[in-house]
Amino acid sequence: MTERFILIVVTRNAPGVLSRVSSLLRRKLFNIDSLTVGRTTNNKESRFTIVIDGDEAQANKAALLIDRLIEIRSVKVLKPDQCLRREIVLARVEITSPEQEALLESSHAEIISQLIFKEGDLITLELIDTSQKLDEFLEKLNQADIKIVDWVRSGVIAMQNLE
Amino acid sequence: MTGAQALLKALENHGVTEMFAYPGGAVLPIYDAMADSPIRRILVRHEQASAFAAQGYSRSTQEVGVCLATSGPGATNLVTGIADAMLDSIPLVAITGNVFKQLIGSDAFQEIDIVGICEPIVKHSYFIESADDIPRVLAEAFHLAKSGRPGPVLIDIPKCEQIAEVSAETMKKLNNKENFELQLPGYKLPPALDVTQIEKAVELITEAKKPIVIYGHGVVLSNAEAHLKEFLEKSGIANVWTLHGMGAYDNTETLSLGMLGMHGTGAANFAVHHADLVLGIGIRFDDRITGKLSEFKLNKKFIHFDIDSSEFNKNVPAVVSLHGQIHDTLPTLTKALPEGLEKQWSDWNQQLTSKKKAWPLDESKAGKLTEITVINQLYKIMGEEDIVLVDVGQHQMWAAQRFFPKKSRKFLTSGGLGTMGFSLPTAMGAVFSGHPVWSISGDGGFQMNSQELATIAQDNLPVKIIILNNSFLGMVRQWQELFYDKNYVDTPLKNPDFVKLGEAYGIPSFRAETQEESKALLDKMQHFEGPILVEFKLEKEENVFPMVPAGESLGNTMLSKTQQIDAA
Ligand SMILES: Cc1ncc(C[n+]2csc(CCOP(=O)(O)OP(=O)(O)O)c2C)c(N)n1
Repeated sequence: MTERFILIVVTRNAPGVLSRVSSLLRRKLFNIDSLTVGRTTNNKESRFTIVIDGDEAQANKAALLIDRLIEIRSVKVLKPDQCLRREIVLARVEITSPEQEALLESSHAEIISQLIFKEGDLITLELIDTSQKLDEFLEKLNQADIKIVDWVRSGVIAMQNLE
Repeated sequence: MTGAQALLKALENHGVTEMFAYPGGAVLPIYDAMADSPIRRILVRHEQASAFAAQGYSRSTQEVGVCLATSGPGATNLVTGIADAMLDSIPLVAITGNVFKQLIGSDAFQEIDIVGICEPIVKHSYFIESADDIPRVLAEAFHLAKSGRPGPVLIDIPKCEQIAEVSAETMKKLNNKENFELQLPGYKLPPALDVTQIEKAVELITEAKKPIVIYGHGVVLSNAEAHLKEFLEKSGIANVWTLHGMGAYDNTETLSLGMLGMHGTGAANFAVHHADLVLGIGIRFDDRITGKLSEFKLNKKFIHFDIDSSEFNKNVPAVVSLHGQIHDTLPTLTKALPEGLEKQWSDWNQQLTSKKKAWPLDESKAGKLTEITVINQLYKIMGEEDIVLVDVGQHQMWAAQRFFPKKSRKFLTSGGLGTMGFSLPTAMGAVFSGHPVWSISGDGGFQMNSQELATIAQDNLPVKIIILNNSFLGMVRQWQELFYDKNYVDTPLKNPDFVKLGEAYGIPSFRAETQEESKALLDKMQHFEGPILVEFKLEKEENVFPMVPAGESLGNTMLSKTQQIDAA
């Protein structure tokens, strides 16, 4: 597996910033694992979390290029272990046997947070954890032949650890 | 006061006296307001030419050139000129009209997302949401275009905001020539110089045995020519230059070895290939100067000076990166450098100067009229202030090898994008520097913007137009000859009668077919007032040497078809 680096980018909340950032990454041929953006506590600022699939040199290169855009306030490059990372999954699965239900319960017990709505055989879950844990969870569902009716991931958000 | 009037007033307040423009429906309100503006318009015949002319203005005067086009096709015609400015870091403000805001997104007649199209080729761009923003955006655009690493800025103004009234306060500020506060919180100019990097640089230099300086456009853009001279004189390090570094230092000095790169001199390429330390001053190590990068990087260390930190470690690993304006970083290094270092590399320098003598450039052929003849004859008669613009192709490289201007901003060319058709329209803007302007093009490139003869005639722009007619798309033909068995597909040209063409536009036009005629006509051109055109009928199949075949190392520089530098 290639390394992954996390860029935390604070920008002006101006029209077109998302497009400038994403098209820059596209035309310089960076591989983006995930990109999320939302407002900060300041209405005039947006904050991006960008997960780059590449080595540290590539991550630094991306950071310098992004920083060159006029509307960028700051860019930070972090290794995965330097930050708190979370991703949300909303999943709807179909449970057809008690074994499957048991497995589901034991699996999501390992995940940081969940919410369940149950309608007949359909169970809707909200899962919040690191991307890796969420991948593992998905793998378990597949192994147990649990049918996934709908599945959506938010992309990663991250915050630098306290030193 | 309407948005259109505010735009013109703001341009005027920024000291704009000329702009290169072409009308159309989406800029009619601006044209309507022009009657009351002192700004002179130059009516180009194709919008691409307006962007190049504006660039010529910037490249020759250090002011910011301005061009204007209508929406849709007018805007897309600007694209090549804007991209060219981006790749050569040339300040430029390009203004386009767009359809009414209510129509944006509806595929309205002549609606195009020019901000989107230009996103990768501008330093920054604006879509005007409100007429009241126009003066501030213009102030920001000029600041961005000129400061830091310069570049083009696009301002797209929907027609409704050209018509809309600005606030009374905005009008008052404009009429009183007050400044509009910039809102650029994210725009960072380089931080103060990191002195540890200077210490490291001194250490590397004092350890070096075979150092070489490559200087480039950054020296010119940073107005650091005098600092470069001080550094080179104190350190005694030999120097080579990039296409855009030309004129930043006295290229005729003994230790000045020539332009480097694909068509660099043997000595320059030899020096860089064998150096153990490269000081890259205001250059970006692009592929046309490095040749095969993996070999270029071998056995050498790099000290890199640049204002743009994203240039560091992009192509070569910098042991030391000096981030900032070269007029700040370079003199600091010069001061920190011990005296008497040149003894350390006197053997190396001697080797380089003997290579320089051993590998002179090709002379013009006796009795034949070639590009080299004309270029040498022109170089001899040119004044110190004369500006030469070349187009793209063989003649560009022959000229770059043979011009040694005493000052920077005297040899203008499209380096990064390599745009044919650059020379003629860019010359129209360079005329406003007040210096004599020579525009040189090949027979191919000339025809990419020959419609501008009409602009030149109408505005009586004193451009001395040289067409070097070798009846081929010469540079491509050379590659076909050397690497594709002379398979001359679509490179022979059946050309118009260029003299008749010039005359049709009312421009005095002549033809030279011999060395004597060439000399006489160049003399005539030199003293001619107003535009003049001369076609030079040349030998057809000359090749530019030295040459590094694409993808090969500088060490494989071919001095001729049969001789390489390493073998020599
Ligand atoms: C707009 C554009 N199209 C194509 C090219 C590719 N190209 C590079 S040099 C060249 C030939 C130029 O021929 P000419 O203008 O006659 O000049 P010469 O090489 O003969 O001096 C071509 C086609 C280019 N650089 N720019």
